[in-house]
Amino acid sequence: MRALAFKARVLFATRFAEMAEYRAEVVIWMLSGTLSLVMMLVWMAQAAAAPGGQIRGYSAPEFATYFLSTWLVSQLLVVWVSHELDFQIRQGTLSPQLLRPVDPMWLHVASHVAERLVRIVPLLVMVGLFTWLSGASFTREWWAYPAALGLAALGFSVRFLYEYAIGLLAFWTESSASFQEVVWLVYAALGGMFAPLAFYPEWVQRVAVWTPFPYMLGLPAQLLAGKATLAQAGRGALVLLVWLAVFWVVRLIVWRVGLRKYGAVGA
Amino acid sequence: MTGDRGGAGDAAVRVRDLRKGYVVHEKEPGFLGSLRSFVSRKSRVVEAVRGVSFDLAPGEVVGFLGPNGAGKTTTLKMLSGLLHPSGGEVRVAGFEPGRRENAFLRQITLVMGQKQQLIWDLPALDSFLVNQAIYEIPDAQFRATMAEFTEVLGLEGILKKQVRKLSLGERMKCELAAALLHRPKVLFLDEPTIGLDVNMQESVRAFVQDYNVRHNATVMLTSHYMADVTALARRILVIDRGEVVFDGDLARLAEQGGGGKTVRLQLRRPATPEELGRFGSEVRVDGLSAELTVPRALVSERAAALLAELDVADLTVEDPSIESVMASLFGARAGQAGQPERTPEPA
Amino acid sequence: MRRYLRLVRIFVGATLSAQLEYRANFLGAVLASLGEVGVALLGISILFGQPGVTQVGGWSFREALLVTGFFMLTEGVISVFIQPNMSKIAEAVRTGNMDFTLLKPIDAQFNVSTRNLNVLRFPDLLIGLGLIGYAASGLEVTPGGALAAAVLYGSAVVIVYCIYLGLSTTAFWFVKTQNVTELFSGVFGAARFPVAAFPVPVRFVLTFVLPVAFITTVPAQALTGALGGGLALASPLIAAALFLGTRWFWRYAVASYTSASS
Repeated sequence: MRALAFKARVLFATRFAEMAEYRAEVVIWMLSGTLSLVMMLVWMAQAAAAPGGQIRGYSAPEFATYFLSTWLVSQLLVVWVSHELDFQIRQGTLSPQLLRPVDPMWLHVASHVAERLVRIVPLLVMVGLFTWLSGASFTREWWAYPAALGLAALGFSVRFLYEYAIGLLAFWTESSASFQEVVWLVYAALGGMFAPLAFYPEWVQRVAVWTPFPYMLGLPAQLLAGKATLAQAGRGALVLLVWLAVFWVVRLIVWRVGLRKYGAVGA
Repeated sequence: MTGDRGGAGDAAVRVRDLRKGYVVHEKEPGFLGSLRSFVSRKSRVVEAVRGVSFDLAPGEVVGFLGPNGAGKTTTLKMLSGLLHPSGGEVRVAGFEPGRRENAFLRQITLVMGQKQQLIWDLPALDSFLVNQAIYEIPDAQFRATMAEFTEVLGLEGILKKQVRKLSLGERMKCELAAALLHRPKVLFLDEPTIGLDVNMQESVRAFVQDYNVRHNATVMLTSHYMADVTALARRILVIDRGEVVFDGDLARLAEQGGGGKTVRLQLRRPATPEELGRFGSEVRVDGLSAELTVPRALVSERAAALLAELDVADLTVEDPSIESVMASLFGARAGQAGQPERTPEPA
Repeated sequence: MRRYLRLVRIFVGATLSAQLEYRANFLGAVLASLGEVGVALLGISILFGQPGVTQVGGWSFREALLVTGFFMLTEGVISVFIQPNMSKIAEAVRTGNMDFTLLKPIDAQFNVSTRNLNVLRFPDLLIGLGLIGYAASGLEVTPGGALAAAVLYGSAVVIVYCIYLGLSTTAFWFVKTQNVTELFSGVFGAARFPVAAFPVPVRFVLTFVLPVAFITTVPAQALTGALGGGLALASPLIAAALFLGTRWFWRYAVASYTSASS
């Protein structure tokens, strides 16, 4: 157990140092995910032009709050592990990692978590700036913040696992990147990046509630905007836990079967 | 040492007082260092090539030697027009390389052993077709050249395999073919055999030699493998710290470098290095065999003395190997005090 | 000129056959293209699906769909023609293979801009054109409008190419430039809606600071005949200026590469 903690600490520290080297890139990655911000501007203009100054009960500042929140949460959910796995499997650089007495997944977990820490300071600065520019106002209920953070952490874990499984598809196909893109689109759409989920056509909403996406992105954003209750947060957490279990098993199976294939064909 | 090889007017390559200086920025390691160099960058000029002059006659093959960082690659890049000289004059095939005129580029080629231009996912033949279009090679000439290269390099059967499936040696053969497809008159070969096994080195050498003879092409070659140089070049240029320190025949380099001959002995009874030291310098003893260097003028005298005084089974006298010549040339220089550090090669 | 056309043909042939090596990817790519268009349509229909909303920034649904069509088409142009070439510039500088490009007796900018194609994303082009066609079928489009749109879209493509080339050319000095082009694709995301859908200050930035408006909004306006003379004239002028500017920048980069500082 102590050995494990030591391993984890060393792993994490080196990944943190590596990510700190990439700090300029981290900021650029943050700025390149603009979909939420574009939608925020469009909806704000729409609300301002609408009679009564609001659409479905959202005024311009409320749209600003919602979309800034989705932007903030989506920044916490960033996962790039499938690209990395795709690359490693195709270039054969996965092999040396297999020789080490630790599942390579934990290396990736460490670098993702470390990157989050590097990201947090510029992220808060930017959220502050955008809040000031757009007139957004976040909730004053203190419990909403730990609840949103908890959902984001669960959401990240779910996303990490399914992205990992997608990356492992590179054992069989050259187009795991395309699958990753499709899944990203579904995540963005059903997560509520285009609008709060209530704005979607009803059949889309009915499909969405069966997926993990609204609970990992839209729900924490609604919490921050003061438009969701603690009970909803609790239900969301339960759904995410179920999905977490599902993807944990899926990832494990894909990994085992994939390794057998890798071993048979060779790097 | 130059000028006696062909008049300056019809030289294939003519270099006068060629210079190249780089500005290098220095940075202390670590984050604070980065910060400091961000505020005030320390920089200095490093002279990679300082005043090099030589001529190459058409059809001549020259080995271009020197330790790492001596300025070989920098010089080749200036000759091929990839780098602009900071001083001096260069003419290659009658052109000024730095202007990179199309007519000039069709006359030359640069082969870099560690880099490759073939399209990775396609058979090499496709890359050749691309080069045919780029260099506007007429179909008839293309076919003739391909036939010639296929025969000399043994490309039969590998032209239609994807490049990524070729072995390193096969890939290098294709690289060479791609680089020479347009029948350049001047070849710059930078480590063309690096990483290849002995057989492959042999066939690359044979190919370059054949091309040189067939097309009367001028070849300038750098290599870490002395065998490349001794097999191909009769003339050697040695460059060290940006200056030409030797220009002449291979044989003369041996004389100049060691100033002596190597005497190899097979003894019947072991002798100590002290005993042998009376006959020559740089004594090496390994069991019953021994090696020592004897001044050229004294070879016969010393050989007679050795035979008379020791129990010698066999005695041979050889020119020193080019490796040992280079080692003694640069070993001696490296001992000098206050020498500036080696200049970095451009990436 | 004829020679360069011939070269384009040879390059296209080579890159096409290289990609047929990986034909299994085609399915995945088609899936991604369909997903892309599905999500774009979802986005715009949510926007127009709200009670009481019939127009966004003065644009009807059909008109806005036209912009979405140009957006998809441009995404296609970028991923088929532009990105595959531009991403190789940084790689070639890093590995030193740029040396080979500079030693070839053809224009180096032409060479780096035309060597590669990503056929897999070809469906994006068709989807974009299909969307434009569908949206236009419900609008009144004159032949003159169509012609103007085609010309203006031509200059839009030149603008996009120049921005990418300019950003990628910085690779001669900075090694990691892929991120800079990422940044542009982030900004380009705003082109999925007509600029009129944005608040006024943002509209100003998207027209005069970052020429995003000229990429999708202006050609769409030309098609519906709603384009003012000023913007119609500005687009080719900006394209020409950017082209000359990036050409100069490219040559400057190559010159300083060959008189290398590192």
